[in-house]
Amino acid sequence: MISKTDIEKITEAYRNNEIKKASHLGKIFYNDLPKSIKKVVEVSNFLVGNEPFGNIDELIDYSSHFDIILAKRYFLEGNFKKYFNTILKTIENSKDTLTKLYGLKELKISNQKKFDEIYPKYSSLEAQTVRSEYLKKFLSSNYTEAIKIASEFTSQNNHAEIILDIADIWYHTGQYYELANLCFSLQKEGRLSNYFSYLYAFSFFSSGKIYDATAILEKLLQIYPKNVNILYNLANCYIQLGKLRESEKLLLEAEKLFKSPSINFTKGVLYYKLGEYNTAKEEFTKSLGSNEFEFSSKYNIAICECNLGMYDSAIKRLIEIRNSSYVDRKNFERLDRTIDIVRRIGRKIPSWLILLIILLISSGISIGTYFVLSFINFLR
Amino acid sequence: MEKARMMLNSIISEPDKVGKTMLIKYYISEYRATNPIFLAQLFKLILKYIYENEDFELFEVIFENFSQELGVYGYESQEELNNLISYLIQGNYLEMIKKTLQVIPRIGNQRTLTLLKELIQNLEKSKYIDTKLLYDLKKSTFDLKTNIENAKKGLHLLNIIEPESNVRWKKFEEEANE
Repeated sequence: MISKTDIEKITEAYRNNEIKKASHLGKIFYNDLPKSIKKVVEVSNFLVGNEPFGNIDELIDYSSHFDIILAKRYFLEGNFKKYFNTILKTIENSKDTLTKLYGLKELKISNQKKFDEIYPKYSSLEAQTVRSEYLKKFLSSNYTEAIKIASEFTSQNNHAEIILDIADIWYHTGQYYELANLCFSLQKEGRLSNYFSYLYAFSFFSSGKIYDATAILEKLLQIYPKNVNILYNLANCYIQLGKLRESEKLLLEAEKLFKSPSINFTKGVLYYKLGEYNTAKEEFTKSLGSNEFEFSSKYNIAICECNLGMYDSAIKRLIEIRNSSYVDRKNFERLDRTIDIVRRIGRKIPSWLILLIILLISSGISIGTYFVLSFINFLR
Repeated sequence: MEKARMMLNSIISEPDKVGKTMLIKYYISEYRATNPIFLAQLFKLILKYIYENEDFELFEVIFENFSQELGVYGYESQEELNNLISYLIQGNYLEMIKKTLQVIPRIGNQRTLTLLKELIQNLEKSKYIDTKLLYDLKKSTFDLKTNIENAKKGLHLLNIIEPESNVRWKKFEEEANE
């Protein structure tokens, strides 16, 4: 039977940043623990990279910032619906300012649009603790101050939760170098959880270290096969490394989980590289709906058509996009050059044959003239 | 160019790396689809500004956080990149040269190749012992040489466009509706 002291030991271990100990103690008494302590144990498991001991769904009651940390598991699993649902419900239900600010922080790093929609309702929340203060600065996009306060705070309180906050701020602000260094030190200390591994892969990928990013993503994919971010970004790594068939498998999986023009566009690039121009054209056509790919998709369709021998259609398409208003100089020059190349490739009669005909005709004329003149001389 | 100059002025007015990073991120998201030429001009001006004003903080922002984007939009910055490399070589800033090596094969030209070869020769002559840097320098030189040769060969070949979005980490949660 669990005693009050055992429960205190768990909460104390967690408070003192002995996260592994909190997780270990929690495992021993897990079934007898009250729900609120189970939550602490599961947050500890998340922070040290352990699998949950129980069912997370049953623990989440949208009441504290622990629920938001636990929702990060949904994020890693690729279940964005559950992830956002937990964040939004917790922000709404909780009475506590820190929890609301924490939830808003999570929303801001994952979906700026949703954040912008609801933040005005909570912008008057007042920070009462140091943690709330840097979260508030972060929410109002004062990143410099947010990082400054959070960094000062970690020098006094090196709790895993605070490290997680800093990592999330760096993730959002794209400080890859700092993030990679942080993950590296966690790895050295044996504290690199799956979430931090995800951030590590992100920082490697974003700074062009594709081999390192690939190694981490491959491991993460084993654990989270339904995370579309892992599938897609790993597929992109594979394309960059020339592993095209491996990439195809992942993109097909990603497409089943999430519909996005980015996936279609990348599939287009992949099939083009594989020489499957018809399929590539289809995929580029599917990605046309997005503003982001409007120019590049149209251009790439024309190039596919050229490879399929549909020169007239390719030229027509290229001229059409050259005359569009949104092209810049580089694209304009590129288009002119491409149109010229497609015209030359697309000629029904090859250039060498035209030259030969011209040569034969001019030779014929010369010879004919010579004979005519000779004949006239001969007559005289 | 005026627009890019204004953007640069705003960037250098930011007091720290995070502010600079966020502003550049904003410009990229604002112009990558509508007017990428601004970004090409901006990166050109940034590189020039770094060596003219010895702004090492801006150097770190660009080469630590935007090396991928510099590779995409750096097509107008070859001369500025070469001047920056020359400046770093003269100042013996080897750690900083290391950070540029990832971008060099993508935007460098024949002059970059000459600069790198000279640097490797000098380091080898001086019996420089950081084998990792020497290896990275040689690899970058080799990749640049290959890219220059391929560009010459492929001058009349057609190829598709792979936009900057493919070198950025994709966050699908940003597109999630529910």
